[in-house]
Amino acid sequence: MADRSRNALGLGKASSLNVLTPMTRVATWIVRSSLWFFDSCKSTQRPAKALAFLPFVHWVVVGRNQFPNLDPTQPRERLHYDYLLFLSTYSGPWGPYIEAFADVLANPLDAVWSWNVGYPGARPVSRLKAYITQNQIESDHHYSAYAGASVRDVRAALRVHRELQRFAEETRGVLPDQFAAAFNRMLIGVQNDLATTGTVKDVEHVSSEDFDRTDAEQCAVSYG
Amino acid sequence: MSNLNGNIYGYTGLFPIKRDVDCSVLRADLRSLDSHPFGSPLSSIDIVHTARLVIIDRLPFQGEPAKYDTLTSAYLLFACNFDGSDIEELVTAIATTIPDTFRSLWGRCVAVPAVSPDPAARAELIEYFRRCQIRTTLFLVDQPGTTVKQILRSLALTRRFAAFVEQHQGEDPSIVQQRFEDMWQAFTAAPSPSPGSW
Repeated sequence: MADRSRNALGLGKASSLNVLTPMTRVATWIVRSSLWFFDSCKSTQRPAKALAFLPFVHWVVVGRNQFPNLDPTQPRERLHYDYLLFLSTYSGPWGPYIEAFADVLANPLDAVWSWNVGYPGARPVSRLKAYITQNQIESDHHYSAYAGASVRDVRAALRVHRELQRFAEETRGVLPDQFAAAFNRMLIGVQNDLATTGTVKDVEHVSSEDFDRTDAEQCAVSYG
Repeated sequence: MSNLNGNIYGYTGLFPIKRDVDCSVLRADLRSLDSHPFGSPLSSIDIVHTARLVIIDRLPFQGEPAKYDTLTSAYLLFACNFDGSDIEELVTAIATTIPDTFRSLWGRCVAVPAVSPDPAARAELIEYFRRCQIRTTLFLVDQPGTTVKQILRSLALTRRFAAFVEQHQGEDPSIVQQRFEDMWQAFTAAPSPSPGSW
């Protein structure tokens, strides 16, 4: 449960996923080059952004000699492998997240993870899920500043803000009839972005005074 | 510059934990952090989008014929996405805003420097975070040009405007215009929602 961030109202929508997988020396060089390419060519990130449930993703290569050693009394690590850390924040349940990931990003996933020891391939997804489960490390604490908002909620809110800002500037001092016409045009444009956001508690319009954290957890679990 | 995407910095650090520290106690302490009213003590730092703390005390084994790796130290993984261009901003915010939380968690790590307002101590703390940093190789951000404050304000405005539309449907245009101006002024004057409140 610590993978899921909380906010002032209970459980939020943002979850974390941490996967640590071993790589050989040669594989590390290839993986680092592939990740560098995906990082440099932002256009390659479009399919991941199109999924609209990934606010942040870190891919981190940790070389076998890169584990920090800060004190002479701390023994050095002697490892057989380098490691690849995949740290992702996502909105929604785990299963569909992995399925969508494998469906849309099978090629980039294979390009990076197929160099990791024991990787079965992105398809079929059942084997990928087993691989992730085996190598996943649960977060002990996860925080999001806006845990109750998914990626789509944030995108929609930013669009509404931009539109209202523009509308407020353009309609300052106009006649009421002109205002009404412009208001209706603006509303048609943003109406699909006005969905209620927040935790389950907010959706049900229950006041915080009569709603404790245990209830929030139960609702969050029931509604996924 | 993989640590940076737009205006957002993605920090990843591995902090070796002292050998005499019981990781299960540290884990229990980490898991109690979300009892904070806003989900985390990190909510006091208004530049932090997301953060996670994970104890890594063993490495995954892929089965035969793969080799089995064991760690000689456990590590505290700290990954944080924040508004800024250098970890100095994050470390300064941690040291000034949540020094007690820092001491209670990182105090169990190897060679952690003291937290103090003294500039030399601050520089040492920043250096400590740099020494434990692992460069992010690929850093993907959905909204790289947007701050925590902008996102929270936009979410608050959306909710406020949805309620406005519901409340003023079918009213006379002059009234809607006046109410909209009132709402807009109230919104622009209102403070941003607290991080972790949404």
